[in-house]
Amino acid sequence: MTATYEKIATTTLGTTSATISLSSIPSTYTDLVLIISARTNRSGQATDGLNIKFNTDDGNNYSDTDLVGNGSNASSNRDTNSTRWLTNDANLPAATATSGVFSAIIVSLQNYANTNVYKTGLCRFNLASSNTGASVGLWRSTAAIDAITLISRNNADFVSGSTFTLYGIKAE
Amino acid sequence: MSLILGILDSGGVTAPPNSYESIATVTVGSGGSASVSFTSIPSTYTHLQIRGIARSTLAGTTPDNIAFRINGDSGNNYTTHSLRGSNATATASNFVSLSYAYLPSTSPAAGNLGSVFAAVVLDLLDYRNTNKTKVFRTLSGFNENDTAGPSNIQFQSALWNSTSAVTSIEFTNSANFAQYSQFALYGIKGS
Repeated sequence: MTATYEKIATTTLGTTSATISLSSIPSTYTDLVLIISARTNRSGQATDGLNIKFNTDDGNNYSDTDLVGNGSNASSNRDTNSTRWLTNDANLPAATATSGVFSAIIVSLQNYANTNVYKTGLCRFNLASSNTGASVGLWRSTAAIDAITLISRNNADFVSGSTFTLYGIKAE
Repeated sequence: MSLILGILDSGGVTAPPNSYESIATVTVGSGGSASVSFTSIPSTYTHLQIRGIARSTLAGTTPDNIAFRINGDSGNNYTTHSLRGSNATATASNFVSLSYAYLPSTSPAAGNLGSVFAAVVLDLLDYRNTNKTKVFRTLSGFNENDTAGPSNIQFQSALWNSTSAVTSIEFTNSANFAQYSQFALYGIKGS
């Protein structure tokens, strides 16, 4: 048996950043897992949303379905023909959220380098002060994913202390 | 200001963990496959994880189910619960005393958007502990860019009401798994 689940790249923000770009992702793994602890500075709001793009594709090639529970209700939402994977509109804490609160988010990208299939990702998000849920995102492209860009839904900045770590898993 | 994370070191690996290992992988070839099986699962791990993508050859646009059996047990020893988000609503369902574990409407069918596969992550904790019945949890979903169709995201749990160690798992659906479907089995060490 071969050990796998290897760290590819990681960063902890020392200052604010509008985007997080993971580039030159090797195609040598089967799946990618991105672990995020993040918060944004969206002004006057308690929540923000995590958006994801692949290979800098800004076309209307993304769609998603999410499921979220907010303490009193479970609900679902769907987006089509988007320019980003809108994982959820409120899965990141923002400026007015309790100090020190960061979201715990895990994004899984299966068969990210398989050029025979469109790319489907699973996002499991946890904003303990607000909600918990999951999102499935489709990128209608058979291209191998070699870059991932993370953006705030509302074009805010990720704040200092946010962490982003990308792992690769290789099936044998 | 934006941050760009390149792959800075040559291998991209600074401290590879050794507790997560690839055990076996099945990729469905042309013509599809009626089942995917993992047999002779070693007892050297604490937990198992199965990661995959799946699509069915079932005719129509109704997503297919994924079923699985443990150790060839076809008795009515399986129970499943699901929480699903599909569009504007969230729904819950359960299936009890089945002869297989049942993950409903999990994978796209032949009539769904081409090249779309469901993503599935299935965890089985303490799979060889003979003092516990076995509980699986899954996160799965697919999206086909539809406004009112079957796209969904699901949390699922499945009980196999047996204390036997898990040594084999067989996945099936209502038709065949389509070409490029893939199931990969991993072991996670506890010590």
